[in-house]
Amino acid sequence: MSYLLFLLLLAAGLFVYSTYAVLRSPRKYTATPEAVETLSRFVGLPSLDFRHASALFDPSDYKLIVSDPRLAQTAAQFREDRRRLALDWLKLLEKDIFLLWRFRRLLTVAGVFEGVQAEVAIAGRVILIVILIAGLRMSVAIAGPFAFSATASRARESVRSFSLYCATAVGRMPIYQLNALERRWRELEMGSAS
Amino acid sequence: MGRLSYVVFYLGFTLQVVLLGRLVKIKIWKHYPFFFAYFAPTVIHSVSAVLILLLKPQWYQAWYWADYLTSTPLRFAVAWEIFRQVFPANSPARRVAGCMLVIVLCTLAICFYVRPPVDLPLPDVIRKMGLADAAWILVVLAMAKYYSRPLGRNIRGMAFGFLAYVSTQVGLYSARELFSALRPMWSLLTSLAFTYMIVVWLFSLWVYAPNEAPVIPDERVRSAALANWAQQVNAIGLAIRKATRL
Repeated sequence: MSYLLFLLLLAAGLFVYSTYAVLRSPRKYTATPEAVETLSRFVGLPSLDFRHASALFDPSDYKLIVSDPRLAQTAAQFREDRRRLALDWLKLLEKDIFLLWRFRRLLTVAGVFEGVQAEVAIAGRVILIVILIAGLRMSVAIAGPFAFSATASRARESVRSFSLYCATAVGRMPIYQLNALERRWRELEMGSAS
Repeated sequence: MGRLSYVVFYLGFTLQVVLLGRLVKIKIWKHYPFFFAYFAPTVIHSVSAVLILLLKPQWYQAWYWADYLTSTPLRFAVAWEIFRQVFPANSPARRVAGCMLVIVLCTLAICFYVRPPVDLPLPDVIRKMGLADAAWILVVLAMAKYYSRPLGRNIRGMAFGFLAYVSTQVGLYSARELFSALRPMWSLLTSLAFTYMIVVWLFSLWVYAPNEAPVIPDERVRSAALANWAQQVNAIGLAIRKATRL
């Protein structure tokens, strides 16, 4: 009986693993350093440039302070500061993903079109990332930043992966079109700012 | 078979025919002959099943088990295809991966031999064969990860679709003995598992996307580099001897 139960659980685990592996996208974007450089010419991504994002969600400092009962007030203040900083960074991350999406749409209009299926997949992917970030922001606002370290790094990785995808796309554009694209992008940016 | 079972069965059959057509159309079967050696008989099996269900439904059950037992060993052809694609004959890691595979399968065989069947011999044999298939695929995937061998779209889909299918076989044949309430849904669950595998294969084998060829050290280049290195070492030795004489 226990042997059969073990086999059943093992089989369920294997099935879940294989389904996850099938659904997980194995795509790796081969964005050249030049393409990444070109992308950074168009889109600045401050949330990804901030290298210490994982430290915002790291609870080790907080645990150290909270372990001393005399520092309870300091610990609460520390936690609140970290929460605020984490929320600011998540807001920045959300802004970046929207900026990248907008840029990707401009690339489509400029001629980097991969078909309707790819366009739908891009939209779906961005919506999922936005939902992830929104959920994370809500969770951090309610429960603080320290329980969501893994989710935050996953959200960052998703945005980074999407930026590489955009860099790959921009890398496929002929160089002579880049100036016109940059002009159009600046116009759009100014339009949205005003 | 219930009505839903028929729907899933015919859906799976249709997808099988589509996949067969695609494999033949883009001639992908030439690249994966062992995979095709398993897949083609399953299509014949499904055609026969359709004919028997239409003409002599009372024969279906007996025919199903006989056919299932003869086709189950053929699943090792898929496992072998995955192994030979991930570690081709000229791959330096093939021998290590092969040894690891033999060790794991032998260990599994000893465990099976030591442990007597817990219930009827037929489900026990099916479970053990499923476990051996799953172990094979897991070892190949682990070795591919260890040697950083990338999996192409075709092999990735083939491996994970197959792993999902064999794990459902192990799980279903265990659950069948544990929960008798599952028995009326039996044909539906097995058809669903098979159809799921065909869907995964259909998506992954729609286009030919093979694995990257492994980097094989060129013997000529290696010996030239070795000669160059020896020459450089001699030159350094000569320079040191000259310097010490001075």
